[in-house]
Amino acid sequence: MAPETKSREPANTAFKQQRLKAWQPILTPKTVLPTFFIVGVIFAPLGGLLLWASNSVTELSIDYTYCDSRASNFPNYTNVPSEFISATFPQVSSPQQYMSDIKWSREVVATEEFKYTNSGVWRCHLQFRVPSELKPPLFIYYRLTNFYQNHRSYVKSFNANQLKGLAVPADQLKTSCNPMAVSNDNSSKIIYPCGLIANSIFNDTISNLTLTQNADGSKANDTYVLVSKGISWPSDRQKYGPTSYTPDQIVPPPDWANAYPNGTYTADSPPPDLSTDELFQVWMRTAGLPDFRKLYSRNDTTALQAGLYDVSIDYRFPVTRYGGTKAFVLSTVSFLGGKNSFLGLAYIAVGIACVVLGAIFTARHLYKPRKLGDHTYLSWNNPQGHTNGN
Amino acid sequence: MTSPTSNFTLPPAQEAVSERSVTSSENERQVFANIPIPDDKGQAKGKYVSNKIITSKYNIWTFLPKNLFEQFRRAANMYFLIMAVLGMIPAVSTNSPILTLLPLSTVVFLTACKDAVEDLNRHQIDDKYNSATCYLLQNFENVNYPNQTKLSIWKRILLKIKLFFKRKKSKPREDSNFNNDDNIPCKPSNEINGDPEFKKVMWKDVRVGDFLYLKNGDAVPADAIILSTSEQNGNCFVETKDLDGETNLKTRRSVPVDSIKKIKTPKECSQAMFWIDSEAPNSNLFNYNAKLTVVSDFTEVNPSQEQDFNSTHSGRGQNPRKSKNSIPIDINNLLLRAHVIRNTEWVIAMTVFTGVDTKIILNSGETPSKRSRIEKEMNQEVILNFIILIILALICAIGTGVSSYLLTNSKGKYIEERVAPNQGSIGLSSFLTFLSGLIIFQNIIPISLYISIEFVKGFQAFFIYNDLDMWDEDAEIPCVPKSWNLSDDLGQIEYIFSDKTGTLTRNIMEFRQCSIGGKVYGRNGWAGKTDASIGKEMAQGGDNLNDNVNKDEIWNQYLQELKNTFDPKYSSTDPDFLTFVDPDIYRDLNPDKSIEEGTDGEFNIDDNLDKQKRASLIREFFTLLAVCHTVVVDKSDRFTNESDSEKSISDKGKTSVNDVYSDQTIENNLHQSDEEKSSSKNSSLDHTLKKVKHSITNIKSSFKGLESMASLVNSTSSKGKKSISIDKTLVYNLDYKAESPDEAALVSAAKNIGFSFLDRTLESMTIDIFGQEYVFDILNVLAFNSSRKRMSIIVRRPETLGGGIVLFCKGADNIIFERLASGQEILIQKTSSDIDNFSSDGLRTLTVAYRVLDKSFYDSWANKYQEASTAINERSSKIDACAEEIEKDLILLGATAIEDKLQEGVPECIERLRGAGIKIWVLTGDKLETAINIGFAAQLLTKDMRLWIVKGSKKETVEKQLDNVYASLITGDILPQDETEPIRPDDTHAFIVDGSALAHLLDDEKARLKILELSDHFHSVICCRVSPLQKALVVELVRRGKKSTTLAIGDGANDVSMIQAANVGVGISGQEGVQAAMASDYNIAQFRYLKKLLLVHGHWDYMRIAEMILNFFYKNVIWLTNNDFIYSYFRYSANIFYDYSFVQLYNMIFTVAPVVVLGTTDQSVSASYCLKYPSIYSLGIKRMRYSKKLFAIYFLDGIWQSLVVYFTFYFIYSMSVNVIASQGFDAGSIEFSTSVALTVIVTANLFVCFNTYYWNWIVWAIIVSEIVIIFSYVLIYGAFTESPIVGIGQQLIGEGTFWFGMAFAISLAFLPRYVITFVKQWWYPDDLDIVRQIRKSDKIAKEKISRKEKLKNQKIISPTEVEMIQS
Repeated sequence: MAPETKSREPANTAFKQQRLKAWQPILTPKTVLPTFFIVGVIFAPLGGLLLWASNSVTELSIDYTYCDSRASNFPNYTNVPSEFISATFPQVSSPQQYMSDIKWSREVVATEEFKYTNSGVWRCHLQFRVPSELKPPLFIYYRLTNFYQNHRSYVKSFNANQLKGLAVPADQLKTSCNPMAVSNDNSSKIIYPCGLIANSIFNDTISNLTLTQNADGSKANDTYVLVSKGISWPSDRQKYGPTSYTPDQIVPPPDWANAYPNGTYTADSPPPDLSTDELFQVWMRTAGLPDFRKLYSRNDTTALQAGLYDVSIDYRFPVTRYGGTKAFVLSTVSFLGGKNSFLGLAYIAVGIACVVLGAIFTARHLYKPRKLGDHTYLSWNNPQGHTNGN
Repeated sequence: MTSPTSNFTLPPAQEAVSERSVTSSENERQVFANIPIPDDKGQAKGKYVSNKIITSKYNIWTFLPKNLFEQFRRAANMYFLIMAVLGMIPAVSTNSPILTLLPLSTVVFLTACKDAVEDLNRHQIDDKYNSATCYLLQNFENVNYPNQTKLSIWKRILLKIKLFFKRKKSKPREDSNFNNDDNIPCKPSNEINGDPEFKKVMWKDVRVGDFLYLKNGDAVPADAIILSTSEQNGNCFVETKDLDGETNLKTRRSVPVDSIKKIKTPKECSQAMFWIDSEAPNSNLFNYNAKLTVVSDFTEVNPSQEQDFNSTHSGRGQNPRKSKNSIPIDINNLLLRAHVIRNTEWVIAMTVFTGVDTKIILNSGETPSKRSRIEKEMNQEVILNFIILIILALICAIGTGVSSYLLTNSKGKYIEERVAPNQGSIGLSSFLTFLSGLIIFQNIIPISLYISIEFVKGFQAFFIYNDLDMWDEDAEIPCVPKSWNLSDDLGQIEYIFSDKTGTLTRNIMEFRQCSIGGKVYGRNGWAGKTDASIGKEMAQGGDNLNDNVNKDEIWNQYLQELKNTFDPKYSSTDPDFLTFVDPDIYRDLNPDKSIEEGTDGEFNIDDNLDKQKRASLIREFFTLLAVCHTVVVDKSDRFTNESDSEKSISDKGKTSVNDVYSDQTIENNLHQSDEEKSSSKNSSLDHTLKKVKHSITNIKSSFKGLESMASLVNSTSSKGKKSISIDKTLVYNLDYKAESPDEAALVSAAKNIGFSFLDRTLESMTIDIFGQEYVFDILNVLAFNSSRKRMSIIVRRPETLGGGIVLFCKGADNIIFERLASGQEILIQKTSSDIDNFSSDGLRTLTVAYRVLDKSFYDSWANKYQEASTAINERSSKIDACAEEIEKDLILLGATAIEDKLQEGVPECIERLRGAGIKIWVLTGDKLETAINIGFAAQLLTKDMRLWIVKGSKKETVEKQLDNVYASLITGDILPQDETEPIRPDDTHAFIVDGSALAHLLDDEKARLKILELSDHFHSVICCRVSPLQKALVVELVRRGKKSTTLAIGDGANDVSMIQAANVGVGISGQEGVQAAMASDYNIAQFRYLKKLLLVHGHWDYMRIAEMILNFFYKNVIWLTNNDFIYSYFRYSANIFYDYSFVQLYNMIFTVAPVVVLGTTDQSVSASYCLKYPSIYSLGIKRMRYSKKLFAIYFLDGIWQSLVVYFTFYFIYSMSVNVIASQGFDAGSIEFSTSVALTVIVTANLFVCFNTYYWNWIVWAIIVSEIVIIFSYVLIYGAFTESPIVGIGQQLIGEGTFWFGMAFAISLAFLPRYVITFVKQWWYPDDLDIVRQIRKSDKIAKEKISRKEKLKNQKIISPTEVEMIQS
C-alpha cells in the first residue's frame, strides 16, 4: 500500500477521463468529392474575375537608363528601343498605335537642386502617346532593378529616432547608421539623415507631364498636375518629424552634398523636413525584391486625356554602375493594385485542377466502390495479416 | 587499545593462505574471525566497500556543477547554448542575446528543479536504508579492518560535531545477549571498551567480518554466513520475496560445524577463531561457494583462559591448535541482504559481502535513465536538421562570398559604397554570414519542441493518473506514472515480459474441488467458476453466466453438518473465507447419520463402495493432506508476544526493531478491537476498518523505515483479502508457511474440514482431527523434485487412529497411477476423468494415495534407505531408486483441484494484448510445471499449442534441445528422435525454458541468435526458475536483438532488474515489496489495467507524440524554407526575412497551441474502439506513425507549402512590381514578409488541425484563437509608431491581393496533402483508418435509428417512409 492514502480517486469528468465530445472527421468520397467540385466552381470564375481586373489596368513603363547615352539631343526625338518599353492599354487592340510614338531626347541642364555644383545634369525627355482617356487615380512610379534594398547592412542603416526628429548624438548613430553616421572630414559632423538608405535616395526628378498634342492631332500645351503628396503610407508618415538638430551640427549625406552649398546645411539651405518629404518616406520603405517600383507622384482627380505627352526627367541617379536599370512608369490601378495576371491565372489553374481531380476520384469511386466501415478490411481478417488470439 | 603482537604466529592460517593463493583470483576474499591477518600474504585490511548504498546522484555541493554538466551533455542544450553564445557576438547577432538566452535558461532551470526533487527523493530512500539499524557485535576487534580507521582530519572534526549534536540518552539495562540501552546507533570500531556485546548500529556501518545478531522479523543488512541460530538443528527460516518474489519461507542452515553452531553469546563470538574463503561477489542468487576453516576447538577454552583470551584479544599466548577441516559453505548457509528472518528467535551470522558487493545490489543493476524510442529517433532527425542548418548557413556564406566578389570586381565601387560598404575581406564576411545564418536558421531545431514535449507528456501522465478505469477501488491506487517521458513508448510495446507470481496471479491458491473415492466434492458452484472455465465459455460464445446456486442453502447445510461433526476450533466458519464448501463431505463421513436423500444417485456410480468404506477414505484423504507436506506453522505471533512484553519494559520512542513489533501490536490490537466491534455493527465495520488501516499505514510510513518493516507490512497485505478483513470465526489462527502456495492451500483446506495441522518438529507432527490432537511420528520424508513429481511421507500412525506405518503420497496423476496397487481400475477411471475435468477448468490437480506398510518390510527398506542416503557416490539416484521401491502398490484416495487465482481480468487482458500484436513472455521464478499450469489458465498456452520445452543443466543437452526446436521450426528438418507429428504451418507454438538451461543459452552467442530468430514463431514464451538478473538478460536480449520496444511488468524486488532493463517498466503496487514500484516507470494496481494503459493510453500517446513531433518539424520547415529563397534577393547578406518578433513568437505563441493540444487531447478513436479493435495498436509496433519516411513526407510537405506560400506572394509582388495596393501605394519588404508570415502561420495552424483526429471544443477554441491572435497581434503591434511593422496590419487587411493570395496559397498548399490523405485513407487504409470508418458508420447507423424512433414517436410517419429511411 502506498504511504500517502488520502482518497486519490480521480474525478469523473469528461476532460480527465478524456471523453470530451468531439467531431471526428474522416475523409470519405461523400465528403471529399464535393469539396473538389466546390473549390473548382469557386476558383475558376474567381480567377477569371481577377484576370479581368488585372487586364483592366493601364500601364506604361519606359526604361530610360540609357537616355543619357543613346537618346538624341533635344529637341530631336528618336524612338526608344522596344526592349525598354512595356505597355498595356486595355482599350487599344494594337500596340502599334502607341509604340511608334514612344521617343526620347536629352539635354544638359543646370537644375535647381544641383545649383551649387558647376556641372549640369542630363535631362531626359520622354514622349509617348496615351491612346485613350485614363481615369483617375493615376500614378507615376519610378522602377529600379537590381537594386538590393534588402541587403543586411543596407536595410539596417538608419536611425529611427533621428528620423523622428530627435537630436541623436553621434556615438549612438555609429552603431545604427554605420558607415554613414558622421562626415568623413575632420569636423565629424553628424550626417542628417544618416545611414545608407537615406544617402542612396533616388534623386531623379520627374516633372512636367505635358499634353503636347491632342488625340485629334491638334497641338496642345497642357501640363497634367501630379503631386508628390499622399504617396507614402499614412502610417509611415508618423515615423518622421522635423529635426531638432541645428544646421551647424549636421551635414547632408555624401550623395546629397551637391544640392547644398559646400555640401553643408545652412540657415538658407536648411535640412529637409522629413515629415513632409514623402518621396524620402517612400524611399525609406525598403522594397523586398531587387526589382521594384516606388510611387513618385499621383493625381487622384483629373482624367488623363488621350494624346501625345511629354515628360522630363532630370537624370542624376546612377544605375549602370551596379548593373541596374531605371524606368518611368505611368499606371492606373485596379482593386488588386498594379497589373498582375498571376492571381487570376493561378486561381483558374487550381480550379481546373480540382475539378479534374474530383472527376478522376469520382470515376474511381464509381468503378470500384467501397463500403464505409466494413470490418472485412481489417488486417486480421486478411490471411496475410497477423493472426490474433482468437 | 591493544593490538596483536607481531610475534604471534599462526601457521595454519598461513598455510591455508599460501595454499589458496595458488588458485585465488583477485576478487576472492578471506574473512577472518579473531585471527590476525597474516601481514605478508594477506589482503590489505579494510579494503571492502562500505555497506552504505548510494543511489542518489548529487549532494548539495555537487548538484550545481554536476547537474549543469549532465544537462549540457544533452546535445540539444549544448546546441542552444552555442547558439546563445553566438548570438552575443555583435558582428553576427541579429537580436538581443538576452532574448536568445531566456528560453534556454528557463529550460535548464526547470530541469534542474525537477532533478533536484527527484534526487531528494532518492536521498530519502537511501537514508531510510542506510540508517536502518541492526545489532552488531561490539567491543571486539574485526581483524579485517585496520585498528584505526583512517580518517582525514576534517572528517574527524565533522564526526565530532555530529556526535556533539546527538543527544545521549543512555539507560543501562541488563540483557543477556545484547545491549539496546543506547538509542543512538553506535559506529562500529575496533576499539574495545568493555565486554563484547551486541549493539545497535546503522546498516551503513556494517562491515565485512562483523557478527550480526538478527532477531525474528529482522531484515538482513548484508550478505552473511549463518553461524548459529536459536533452533536446535541450526536451521532458520527466511522470507526471500524481496529477492526472488516468492512469499513462502525458505530454510537456511547454519554452518555445519558443531563448535560454531553452539555460539550463543557475544563472548563466544569474540572467541571463535575461523576464517572463511569466499568466492568473489557475484550476482548469482542460487549459488554460492565458500569454505569455512575453524582454527581450533576454541569452545574448549576453560574459563580462566577465557579471561585471558578476552583481554589479549584473539588468543595471544595460546598455542593455536591445528585447524581441523574446511567445511564447504553453499547458498543454504548464506543470508542475503533483504532476506527477512522468520520463525526463528535469533540468528548469529558473519557478514561476507557488504554494500554494492551484496547479491541483491549486484542483481539490481544500474538505474537507467530511460528515453522513449520516438525521442531517440527524434534526435536523429534533430541531427539531420542540424546538418540542413549547416548547409543553409553555408549557402548563405557562399552566396555572400560570390556576391561580394562580384561587387568588388565587376560593377565598380558605387554599390559597394552605397549599399554594402565595409564588407571586409570576402572570407571574413562569408564566415560572419555563416554564423549569422546559423542564428537565423537555428529555429529549424526548435527549443520549444523539447519544452512542448515535456509539457505534453506531463499532461499525458496526468490523464493516465486520472484514469478511472485504472483506479483500484480496493487498494485506492491510481495508475501512477513515474517516468513522464515514456508515454509514447507505451504505444509501441511489442514484447511484454511479465512476472507471474503476484502479477498474473494473485498468488492465492484456493482449494476448489476434490475427488475422493471417485466422488467429486465441491462441484456445487459454491466458489463460482474458475477463470479458465469462464474464458472457455466466452470462447464458445455461451452467455448463460447465471448459475442458479443457492449459496445460502449450501452454507447452512454445510455449517449444520460441520457443527454436528465437531466443534470447530481451528476451522473457519466464515463463508467469505471458504472456497470449498460441501456438506456431502460430512454426510459421507458420518454414514450413520447421513440421510439417504442427501446424496443423489447421479454421483453414486460406485454403489458397491459401501458407506463405511467411503467414510474412511475421506478420513484418510484429509489426514493425508494434513500430514503429507513440508508446511511449517508461522510462529511469529509467539515472538511477537515476547517482544511485546519486552517492549513494554523498554522505553518508548525507540525506533527500529521494536517498532516493527509495535506495528504488529497495533495491528493485533486492531484485530481484537475489530472482533469486539463486529458484534455490534457489521455494515460499517469494513469502512472503519479501512480507515484505521490507512492510519496505520500512515503511522508506519512515518517511522524511519526499515526493510524489515516494509516487508512486514507487505507480508500482511500480501495475504490479500484474508488479512485485510479478519476471519472472526477462528478461535486459533494458524498461519501456514509453505514452500509452495499449493501446499498451504491443501493444508488449510484440510484444516477447515477439521483435520488441522498444528505443529511439526523434525520427528513428529501434531494433527488435530475433529478436536482431538494426534501425534504422527515422521519416519521418512521422500522429498519432491521435478523428476520424481511426487512427495511421500512415511509416518507411524498413532494407535488411536489405527496405528501402523503408513506412507502417504501425493503427486502428478500419471506418476501416482503408475504406482497403484492392482484392482482399482474403476476407481482409477473415475478419478482420472475427474482430473481431466479439473484440468480443463484450469485447476491444478494432485493425486493422492497411501499405503499401509508392513513393519518388517518397512524396517528392511528403512535400512536400505539409510544406506542410500549416506552413500557417497550417486546418492540422489540411489535414494530415488530406494523410494521407487516403497512408493508402489498404493491405494488411490482421490485427487485435489486447486485454483491459482489469476488476477481479475488477466486472460481477457492477455487476449486483447495478443490481438494488438504484442508478444507476451512470462518470466517466473516458479517451477516448470507451475508455470505451465498458469500459462494455461491465463490463456497464454492453449491446448492446441505445441509446447517446446528446453530444460536441463548441462550445456550440451540444452543446446541440443534448442537445435531440435530450431531445426523443426526454422529449417524444417525433423530430427528422427523427435516427435512424430510434423509441423503444420498453422500450428501455434510456445516455448518453455528452464532457468538453468536459459543460463547456457544466454551465454552462447549462437544460441542467443537462434532464440531471437525463433521468437517470431512463438506465441508464448515461458521462462521458469529464472533469477532476477536472467530476467534482465532476457529482456535485454530481446530489446537489443529485436530492436523492439519492451515492457516488463512485475511486483517484487526480483523484478527490479527486469523492470529497469525494459524500455518501460511497470510495477504492480500493493502486493509485494515496494522495490518494483520504486524502480518502475508506471505503477498499476492490477495486471488487467495494462490493457487500458497500453491499448488506449499507449496508443493515443504514441499517436499524439508522433503526430506532434512531425508537425513540429513541419511547422519549422514551412517557416524557414522560404527564408532561404529570399536570400538570393538579399544578396545572401543573412538579413532576416520576417520581422524579428514573428521569429520569436512563432514557436512560442503563434503556432504552439494547436500542436500542444494535438499532443494532449487528440484521439485516433475513442477508448472503447481502441479496446474493441486492438489491432490498431500494431501501428505503434510497426512504427507506422513515426518513421524516417514520415519525417521526410512532413519535411517535404513543409517545403512544398512554404514554397507555395512564398511564391504566391513573390509572384504577386514581382509581377505587380511592388504595387499591390488599390490606392496605388508601393509595397515594402515588411509587407511582403508579413503577408508570407501571416499566411504561413495560418497554414501551419490549419495543417495541425487537419492532422487532428479529434476535434473537441479545445481544438476549435485554440485554432480560432490562434488565428485571432495572429491578426490582432499584427494590428496591435503595428499600431505603435516604433514598431517595425507599423501600419502593416491595416494595410494588408485592407488589400484584396493579400486575401486572395492567402486563400490561394492555403488551398494550393493543402491540395497534395488532402488528396494523398484521402487516397490513402480510402483506398489504401490501415487498420486505424478502417476502425475510424467503422466508428463513423456505427454513428450513422445510430443516428438513423434514433431519428427513426423520433419519427415513430411523432406518429406522423407512414410505413413507406420508414422503409426509405431504412434503406
